Amino acid sequence: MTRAAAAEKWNKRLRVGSGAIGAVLALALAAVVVRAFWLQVVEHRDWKARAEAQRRTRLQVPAYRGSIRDLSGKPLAVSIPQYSLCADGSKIDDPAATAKRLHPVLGADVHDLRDKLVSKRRFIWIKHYLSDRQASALRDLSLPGLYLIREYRRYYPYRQMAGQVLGFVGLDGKGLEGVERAYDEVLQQDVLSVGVRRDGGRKRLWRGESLPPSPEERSGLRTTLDLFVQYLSERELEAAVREWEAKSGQVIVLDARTSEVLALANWPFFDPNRFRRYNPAAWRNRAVTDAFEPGSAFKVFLAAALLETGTADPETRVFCEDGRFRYAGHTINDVHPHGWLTLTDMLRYSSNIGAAKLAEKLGAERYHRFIRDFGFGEETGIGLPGEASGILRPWRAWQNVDLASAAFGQGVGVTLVQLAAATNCIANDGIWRRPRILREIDGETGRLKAGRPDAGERRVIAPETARWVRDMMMAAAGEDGTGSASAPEGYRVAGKTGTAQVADSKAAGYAENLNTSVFTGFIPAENPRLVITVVIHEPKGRGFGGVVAAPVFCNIAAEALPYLGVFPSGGTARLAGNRVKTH
Amino acid sequence: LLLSVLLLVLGLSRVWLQVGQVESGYRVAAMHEEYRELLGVHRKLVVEWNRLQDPHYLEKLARENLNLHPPRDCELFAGGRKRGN
Repeated sequence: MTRAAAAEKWNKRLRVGSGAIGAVLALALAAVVVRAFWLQVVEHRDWKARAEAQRRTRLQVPAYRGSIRDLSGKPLAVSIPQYSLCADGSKIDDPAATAKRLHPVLGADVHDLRDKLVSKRRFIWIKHYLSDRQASALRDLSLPGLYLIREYRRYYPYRQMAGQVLGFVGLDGKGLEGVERAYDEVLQQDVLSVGVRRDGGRKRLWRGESLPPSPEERSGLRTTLDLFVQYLSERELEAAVREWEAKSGQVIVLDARTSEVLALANWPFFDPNRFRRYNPAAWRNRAVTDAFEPGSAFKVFLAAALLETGTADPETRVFCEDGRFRYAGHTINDVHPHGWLTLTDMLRYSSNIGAAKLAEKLGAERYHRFIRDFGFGEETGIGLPGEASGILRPWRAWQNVDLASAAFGQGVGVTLVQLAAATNCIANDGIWRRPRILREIDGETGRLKAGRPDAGERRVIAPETARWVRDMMMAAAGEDGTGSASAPEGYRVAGKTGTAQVADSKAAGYAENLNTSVFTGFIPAENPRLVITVVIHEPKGRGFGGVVAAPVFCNIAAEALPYLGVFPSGGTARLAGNRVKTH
Repeated sequence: LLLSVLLLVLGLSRVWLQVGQVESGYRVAAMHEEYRELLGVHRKLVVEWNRLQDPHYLEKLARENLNLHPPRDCELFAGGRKRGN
């Protein structure tokens, strides 16, 4: 073979090889182009969605449950973020070892932890609401299959303060009692889910788009409660209940000018931070939900009805039978025997016999109408859940003795709020105002306007009648009245004591030696600023309202009034904690 | 040649800016997360601050730890008048 032929053969092979390679490359390129076209055009949407899913994630931004604040803005209930621990059972290889490592951090029993972790479920709650220290320690441990998730917990920084009024929320963040329940629709927490960018390692990344919103709070509430007046009320109530070894007690303090509730105390106290540790009975706001017989404190409203109808005037005299009177087959007694008394003195000395006789002159129908007008027998609409309407039977169902007993506050049931609101009606020259616990809703949206308590008010008695009743109440709380222990130095009080027997649920009738001690009144009598109503249930010993409940009124007023800028005339304000002892 | 160099510089600058933007993006995201955490901490501190101001708690501390009590009438130097009862 010549050299030329060999070169020709080589060139031919080269051309064939090049052509083949070119064809393969062309085919490969065509395949790439087709594949690219397929991915970019035909499956464009699917791949775009997958890419988005890989580089976008959802961020949960909390809208905290709204805070509840007192009159001056101090937080009474606040939601805060707190971590909880959960596990993925399928990713825990050695539950016993994991439980051993968790034990010193959580303080929980190792066996209990292991029992939880052996489950192969994908989601297991280990512990709710870890402390910051526990959460940090768990992060350091970084145990496989364990995860920290952020939850939101409700805190009540002032612990027991107004516990029954505030109520509490459940694990699901829903209000279950008190203000939390009543205004749950306004306060409820929420979570806003927003899209954010992330990288392949699931690390968040910001690339110029707007930042996700910051966690913020839903609409909060400002209540009418004043923390200092609430504290005074609770302190004095507890002191009296302990001093008299009583079963329970309640105090309400109203601003006489607006009918706003400055304090509402229930003893035994209740700390909503630990609501599960209490008997559910302790959750109840008894000042609103429970009715009691008000005893002689009710004579105030009999006097108002007598004066308003012209049945009697302050100097009308009634014979009080020297302390013992048979009426409709029953015997009515006075604590101290009296002969002839004026209407004013009947109230001053709290004569049951005088009240019964005057009520008979007034008549059941008219008396019943006035009782209703003063707000008894129906809810006040204070805006708290579970409010009772009290016990007031129709006047037609009254027996003869029922009119007499209703005259001195037996046989009728009232709530503390009703009694305070009715007393405030006297303080406000005969205008009844609905008591309020809610001052305002932040950023009012109008959603709850229809359900909110309005400033409902009505005239019940004439201003002149109210002033007569006020003068009589001043006599009752004066030096020789039954409520003399109610007056702090430098102030004049208009008030009335009550000592009611307690109905015995087992035996028909009243229990022996069990009383409800009541005092209701307003101060300063000439220009009312505070209405305070105190009830102490079943105190031991001398359970008279003037001895047990009136000093509580005195002690609260003595410190609350200077705090509110109402100073005593000719005296100095009482220093904190110097209370009147009754023993 | 000058145009090529200019294009190269512009290209490199763009890459440099892109890298810087990504790095800043990570920092911004991390700081935003920290900000969220700090808002939570702030809420916790508000709770703690108010918890420490609880008048019942302060009174208990004063009485039990510091042996303090409100002054009696006889301990007042000026102003106070003794009560009748």
